[in-house]
Amino acid sequence: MVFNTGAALLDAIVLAVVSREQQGTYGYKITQDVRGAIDISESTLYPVLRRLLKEECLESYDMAIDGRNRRYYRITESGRLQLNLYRGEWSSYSRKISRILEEAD
Amino acid sequence: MNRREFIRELEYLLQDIPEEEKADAIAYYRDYLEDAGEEQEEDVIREFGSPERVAAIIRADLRGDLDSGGEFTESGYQDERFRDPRFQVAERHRGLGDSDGQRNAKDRFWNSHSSDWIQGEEGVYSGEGREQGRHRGGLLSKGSAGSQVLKIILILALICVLSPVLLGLGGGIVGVAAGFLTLLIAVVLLAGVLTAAAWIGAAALLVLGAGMLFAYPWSGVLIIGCGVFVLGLACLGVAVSVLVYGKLVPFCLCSVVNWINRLLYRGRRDRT
Repeated sequence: MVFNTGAALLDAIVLAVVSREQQGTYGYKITQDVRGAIDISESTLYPVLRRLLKEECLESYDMAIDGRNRRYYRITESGRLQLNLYRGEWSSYSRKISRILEEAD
Repeated sequence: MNRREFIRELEYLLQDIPEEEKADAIAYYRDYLEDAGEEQEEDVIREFGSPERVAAIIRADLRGDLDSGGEFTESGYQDERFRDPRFQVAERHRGLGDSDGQRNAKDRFWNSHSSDWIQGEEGVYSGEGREQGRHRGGLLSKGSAGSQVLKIILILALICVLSPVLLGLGGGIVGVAAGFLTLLIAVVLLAGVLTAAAWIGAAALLVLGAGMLFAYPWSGVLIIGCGVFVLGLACLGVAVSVLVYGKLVPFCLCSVVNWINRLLYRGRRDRT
């Protein structure tokens, strides 16, 4: 991938990934899922998740699993709104870019 | 370094941030490593870079400077401040060549950047400056001789029209400056002269008083008294002189020299 991923796009991808899981999902899995789309490093997401929690786009809860507590992240109502906004922006942006790139011969 | 060591190190490095933030961060990274599983553990820790790097990112985030500092790129979060020698993220100018070529270029970049990079950048910069200078010179000599002449004529006309005002203003400024300068010189000279005069006067009065003490005791005492008073003034004069010659004069000289230096320096810089 030669194009840089901006912070807003990364937020959008993380929100999308988290919103797919009704019951919520956890840090390691989010990272692996995001890596399905863009190549981020293992340590990238903690500040992003923390910020999304602070902005109340995500909420977190702990669940006991294998005799320990795992922190789960779930999308909130305002997170969903934010994600929809990103989706609209992205679809118009990507359509324009695609058109201009495909028109060029 | 295994999971336990990594977490212990991270806890140690984060001991001065708020307890809640620390607990959250530690929990996240502990979860992460446990979820990665034992066989992935080593790879993940290697990709984290080092506990120091992870701690630095957490801290910067708490201070709120992650938003301005780095950027997310295809190869992860990239921030000059958190570059770790064992963690290769920075790769701004990646070509579209084969992966072997890329890796070589990347290695070269990483091996050479720390010292050569800055030098190289400066080289490029100054080279560019010279190039621009030459370019500008060429333009001036070639193209715009006519407009140059026009500009000079306009400036001359402007000076003619404004000359009375300029003369008045200039004269006033020169007058005021000359006044200040004279005052300064007067203070400098007077301080010395008056002090010397006071010493001589005091000595003369004391000698005269002592001489008269036997013939006219009261007058002698009076004159000696005056002498002592003038002696006091003389001491005061010495103090003032020390101040003037020790502080004021050097200060003025320094200012003048600095000012001339700056003029010369600027002139030289403009010429090149």
